[in-house]
Amino acid sequence: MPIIFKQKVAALDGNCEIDLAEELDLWLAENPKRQVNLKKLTHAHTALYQVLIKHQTGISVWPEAGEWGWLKRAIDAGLYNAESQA
Amino acid sequence: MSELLDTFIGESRENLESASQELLTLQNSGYDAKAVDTIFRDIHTIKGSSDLFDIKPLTRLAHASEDLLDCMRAGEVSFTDELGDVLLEAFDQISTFFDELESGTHQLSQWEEASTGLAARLRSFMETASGGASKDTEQGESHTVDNGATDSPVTVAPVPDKAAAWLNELDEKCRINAFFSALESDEMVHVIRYTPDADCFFRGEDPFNVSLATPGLIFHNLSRKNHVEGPEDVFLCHLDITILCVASSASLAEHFAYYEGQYEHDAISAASFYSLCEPLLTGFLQSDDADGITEAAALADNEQVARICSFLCASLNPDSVHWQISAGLEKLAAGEALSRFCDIATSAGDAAPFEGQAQAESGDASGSESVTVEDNAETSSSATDVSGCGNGDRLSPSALTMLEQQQALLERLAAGEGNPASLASVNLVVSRVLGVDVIERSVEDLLALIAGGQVEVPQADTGEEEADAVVPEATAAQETEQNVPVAPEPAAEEVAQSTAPAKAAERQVPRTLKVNQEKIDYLMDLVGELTVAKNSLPYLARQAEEEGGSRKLSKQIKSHFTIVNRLTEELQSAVLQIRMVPVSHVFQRYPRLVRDLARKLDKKIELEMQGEDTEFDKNLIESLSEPLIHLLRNSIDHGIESPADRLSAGKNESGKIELIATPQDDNVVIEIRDDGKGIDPAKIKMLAYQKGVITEAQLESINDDEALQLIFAPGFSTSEQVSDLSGRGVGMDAVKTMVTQAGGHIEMQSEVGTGTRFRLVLPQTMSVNRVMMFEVSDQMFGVSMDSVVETVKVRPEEIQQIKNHQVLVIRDKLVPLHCLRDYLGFAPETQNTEEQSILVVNTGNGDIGLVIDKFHEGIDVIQKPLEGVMAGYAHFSGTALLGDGRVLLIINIPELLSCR
Repeated sequence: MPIIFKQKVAALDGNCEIDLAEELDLWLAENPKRQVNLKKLTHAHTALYQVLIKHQTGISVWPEAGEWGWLKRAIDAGLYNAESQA
Repeated sequence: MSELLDTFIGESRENLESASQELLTLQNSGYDAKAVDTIFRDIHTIKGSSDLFDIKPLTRLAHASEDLLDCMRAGEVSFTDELGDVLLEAFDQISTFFDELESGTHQLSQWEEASTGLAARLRSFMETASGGASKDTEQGESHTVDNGATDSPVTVAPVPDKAAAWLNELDEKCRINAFFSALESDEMVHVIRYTPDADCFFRGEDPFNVSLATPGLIFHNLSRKNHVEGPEDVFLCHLDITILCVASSASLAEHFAYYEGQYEHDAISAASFYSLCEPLLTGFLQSDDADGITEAAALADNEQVARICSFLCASLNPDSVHWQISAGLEKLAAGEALSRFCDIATSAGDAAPFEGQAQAESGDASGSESVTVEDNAETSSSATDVSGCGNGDRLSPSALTMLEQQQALLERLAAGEGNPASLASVNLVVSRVLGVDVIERSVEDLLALIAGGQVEVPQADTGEEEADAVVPEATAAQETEQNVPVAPEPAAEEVAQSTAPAKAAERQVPRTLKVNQEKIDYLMDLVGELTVAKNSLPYLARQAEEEGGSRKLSKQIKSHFTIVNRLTEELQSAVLQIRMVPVSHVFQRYPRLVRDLARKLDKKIELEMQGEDTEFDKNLIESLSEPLIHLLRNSIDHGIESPADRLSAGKNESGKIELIATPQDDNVVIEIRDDGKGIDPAKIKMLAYQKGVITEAQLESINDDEALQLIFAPGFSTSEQVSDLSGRGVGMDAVKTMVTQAGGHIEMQSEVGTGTRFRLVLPQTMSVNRVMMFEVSDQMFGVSMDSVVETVKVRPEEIQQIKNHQVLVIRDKLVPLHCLRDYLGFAPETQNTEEQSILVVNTGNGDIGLVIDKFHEGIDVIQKPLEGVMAGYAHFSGTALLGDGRVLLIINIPELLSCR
């Protein structure tokens, strides 16, 4: 199972495809305090990143390897906030 | 050539044909939205399918056409004859590509040229429409590169505004990083604005990961698209990506090949990019940290630069910009690329860190900008004149400042302070600024030199030196120009080789002929009528003999009949042959299906196919595809166990599914075998009972084989858990219905632990049926020969009565009798006959006997469905025309019996 929903944290594991995006979106929408653990994430589809950016999701653990600054910046930037939309 | 490619070419030719046709209509009768739609769809299909093969030039051309057509649909571009001509040319080019592809003589490198040229022309229409705002990539790309490379190699092209604005907002370190990477690898810096279509996910695109995998990626950031319909839809892409990378244009073009039209691209040479980093670099070089680097660099002392930088790297904060610059310089020095940095810094102008070199070598920036490779020798000497290398009193202000700096340094040296080793570099700088020979001089000499400003003017030298400085950049620019995939020129011999076979390909006429199926069906009907007409000849012969009394004529007619008969039969089989296609048409989709499903379920499955060349009627094959997919899914989902289960059951880890097609007489048998866990009849029985498919009494009496057939019963599913693959309980029932409709039947065998076998028996063609004729109340009827078991004649007393039902015992078997006169609404037989004719047929629920009047022969007929008011009478399955012109009604026995 590439995604495990716990009470407050969803853990993404391995290769996460687009079909998980909707589920994750709904889950994050339920409670804005929910976080995501990317520790074991190796690859995720754009749609999933987009969901994280949309909800400005807190990342409890970043993946072990790789450069993730871009995602961090995008999440922090609040791209989906009303004022940032051109 | 692969089957898939064959199909692709065949279908695409058809699409192309239709598109060209519509385009011609457009040109003749003016704009028509419907026609544009058709063309768009056709080209879209070609583009989509072409992605399956490694023929990017073709895809690109189709894509450009598609984009243009899309703009036309949206009303952004209006249709002109000129535009139509270019589109037609593009279509012709695609057609030529197909020819070469088919004959296997294609040369992608050669295609590239034609494709890019045409694609650019197509895109230019969109360009002019959108007011020159470069929306597309190719154009933007070549445009920028033109600026950088062809206009004037020495001119430092300004960074495009949009890119510059974005870059200026970027983190300083990113800019520095990009600049040094570009220098180190001697490639261009690229700024790519990747704007994925909102619905790109549906095409399987994954923009972020595409962007992350960009060659030479330095940085990428995300921004919100201006407008996306359905902002809540997670399956739409809402974000744009801007990418900063350093790579060759060719590798980028390759990377983004499938996303053409979705990105804009600016290529910036390292020299142009310098302007963005200049304040940072100058600041660094003038800081105390960088003490000595300038001098060492001026001496081209790479080792010294590397040493200083590595020291700096160790002492500075790794998060600082200065650290980044030191690290970059260190790498450059180690990789012998430092000279490139010096050249760029030098030519960049007055604020350059290497003023000494800058002034000495090329005067100021305005001077160098006007210089081109061809005439740099002359202009540079005049430039040096102007910049005032010659006379002290005509030194430029910056040169003077520089001399003052050097003077201060020398004075410190004279006083015994500072690093004595820097004397050499000071000497070099001073000599260059003043344009004197670089010879060893003492501190005092140098001071005197500066004070006096004495110079002999070795102008020729400076000219040469400048030429040196200019040339590497010119070559770099030329190189980048070649890297751009606009039109890589194929090697001369390559062209020579490929033109000959290409001509051969042109002469080759396509061997397949695509015919509308309706025409074939019409031909089939005609053959059917001919068969009927032919069948009338024996009647005629009989008539000639009985009524005309001419036995000779009758004989002649009969002999002619045999000839006509033979020819008709041959004609019939020939026409049928046209409709035959190999089952591979259907089969070739399955390996992919099996692979995908297996992967989804984490199972290991091998698919083995046999007899793909077995031929089948086109209509039948299409009706076959669905049931087969269903059966395969069942086998994968329910049949084959997971690898762990298989291993523990002592089987091979990967399961095996066999798909075998074999011709058998007039039928084709398709078998699907798997070596999975099989089906447990006891379980089936219980489930069937629970679901009310069988009664309790049946539960006791039914045998294993019959139990297995229960899976074909409506509303039956063995899977306890409904998965998204199969097992919704409609499956096998639907499969059986489809197979029966196609005139075939399905059997199933299964053994627990060893596997399951499905056997589909289907008629090879469904056009000709063999029918058994019989007579009831002087009318002819027929039943399908397949259902006939036997014909018997019995005496009336042999018929027994059980309750109010007539039965007959044939070979110790009870056969219920049904009187067709009764069922068909004829008057009961009045005269008592000695014998009753009984036609025993099997309807799937055991044998039954039909009481009829008289047997006739079996004949081949072409069965036609009932039409008009008759269409509602389900107890007749169809009609056929007899040789003497009578209509034969073919009875659907189960339906007829259920009427009662």
